[in-house]
Amino acid sequence: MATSTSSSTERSATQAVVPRTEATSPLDVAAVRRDFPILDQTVDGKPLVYLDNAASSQKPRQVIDAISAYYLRDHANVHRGVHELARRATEAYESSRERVARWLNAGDPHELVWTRGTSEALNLVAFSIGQARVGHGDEIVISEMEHHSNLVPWQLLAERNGARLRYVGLTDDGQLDLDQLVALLGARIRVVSLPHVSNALGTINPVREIGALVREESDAVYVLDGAQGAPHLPVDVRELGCDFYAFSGHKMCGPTGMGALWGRKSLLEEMPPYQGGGEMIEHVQHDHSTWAEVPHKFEAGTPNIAGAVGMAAAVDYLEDVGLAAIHEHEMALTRAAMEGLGGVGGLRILGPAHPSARAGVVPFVIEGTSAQDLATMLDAQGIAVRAGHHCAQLVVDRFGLTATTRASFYLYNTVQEVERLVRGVETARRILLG
Amino acid sequence: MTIEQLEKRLGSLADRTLRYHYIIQLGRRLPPMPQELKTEENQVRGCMSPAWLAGGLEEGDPPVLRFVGDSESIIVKGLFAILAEVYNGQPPEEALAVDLSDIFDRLKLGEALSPNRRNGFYSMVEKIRRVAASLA
Repeated sequence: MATSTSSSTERSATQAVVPRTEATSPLDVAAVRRDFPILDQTVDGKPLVYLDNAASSQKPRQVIDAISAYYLRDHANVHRGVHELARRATEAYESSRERVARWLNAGDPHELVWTRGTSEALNLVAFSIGQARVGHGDEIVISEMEHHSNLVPWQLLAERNGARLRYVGLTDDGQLDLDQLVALLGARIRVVSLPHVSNALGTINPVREIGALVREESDAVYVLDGAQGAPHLPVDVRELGCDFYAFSGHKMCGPTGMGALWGRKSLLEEMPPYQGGGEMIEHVQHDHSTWAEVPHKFEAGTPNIAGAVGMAAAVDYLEDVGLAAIHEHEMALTRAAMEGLGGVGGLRILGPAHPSARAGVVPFVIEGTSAQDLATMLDAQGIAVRAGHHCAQLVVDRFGLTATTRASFYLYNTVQEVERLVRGVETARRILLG
Repeated sequence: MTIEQLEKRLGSLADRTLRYHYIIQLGRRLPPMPQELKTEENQVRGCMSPAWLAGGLEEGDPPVLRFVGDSESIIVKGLFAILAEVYNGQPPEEALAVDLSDIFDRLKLGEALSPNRRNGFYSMVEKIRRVAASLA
């Protein structure tokens, strides 16, 4: 169990060297790390430091075991089966939905649609709400902070339906320009779709306040891209005031190829299906079909049953450790990283100045070096980070760049790893600048 | 420097950081690429960082290839320097006969390069071979 307080000799030895910032954290990192076998390896002889969590997180043994147990004992196709394994698989699939819905404090488990990930969830909303509610001359508000997954689907919709995309700009410290947002809200706005947390900057957006503004000033549907939110912050969809919340399993200790869309039931019922196939119909005739109830209307074909089981196991795990504790731990790591990196010559950190305004993401550039070279030199030292535009080209454009190097933290990272990052960046800088 | 010398030098370095350091130094020693050659036509597609490469024939008997290149990435520039060692001074026909994958293995570049970088490296090779073929 990740939060166990029992101490072994081995763990006492580890904790003895843990700096103060970590000692005050309610999260027992040494115990958490034991749940992630993948972290215990070397790269070119150096212990692996995995700081690419915003791209994908690692999986605890509990999640791997749950998926494995499902395939070892319970697998069959779901729904309508009369045999024992079909019953068990259906039970696993639907109880996982209930588990994840409860985690989000959804009013009804049927408000949770399984998808392949955040991208598919956002494509689903853009397509189906687009059909139902967005017409020629209508407006869709997104921002310059978007991951391409919350940008391109809306661009496609705008092209298809003759709607207009409006962008909320960013302030110099990487926050949404709320004045611009307010100025955009009006009668023609049908959708406002924004990130809960920016993947490229780490900014935690004031999504609750924005939700209140959207309600006051428009009749728009309010969509949140939660890919970087759900893994790092407690999410209560009823309290957030959004209409849709999209997220991925693989960034929150769950499996790849699995995600979900939470949506208000009345809206899900109003929306036409996204894809056609098995599972999503009620009756099929030659000239037309009728649809299954929500959420099955949106789940065409045999679903990712093991993925759902893995998602529920990931939620169990995160809840066990505690999202609030995880966020606090990440803030301590972010603070340490920003302090350490801030002392490296010519290094500029993008995004909010205060660590508490970020969810464990620290993007940076060093004057005169390429972001990819920096990441390559860190990899040579066993430190995994990501370089590029992070699928958020408008963000790097906004800051006059083509790429950044991004370190991103999660519950299993330590202050010692942050120190290795800082030393690694210093070494890389020395070599790259000659 | 010959490929044998490069192989020996890279093989003697203890870890990837040192090997990259050495490759970067090779890049630094390259003659600068004239700005007017950094055209769209000379741009190497498939590199993560912008890179350019241009080549021509140097008078002689037989005439031999001479390539210049540059990149915003000093590592890509270093990798180009290795390719310049391989191809510069070769008649085009001989350049086309070079088994680059053998050299790639001997220099243990596979261990050092990420798949993206490897693609970029082979994009440079492709461009060099196209230039060589056009001059053969």
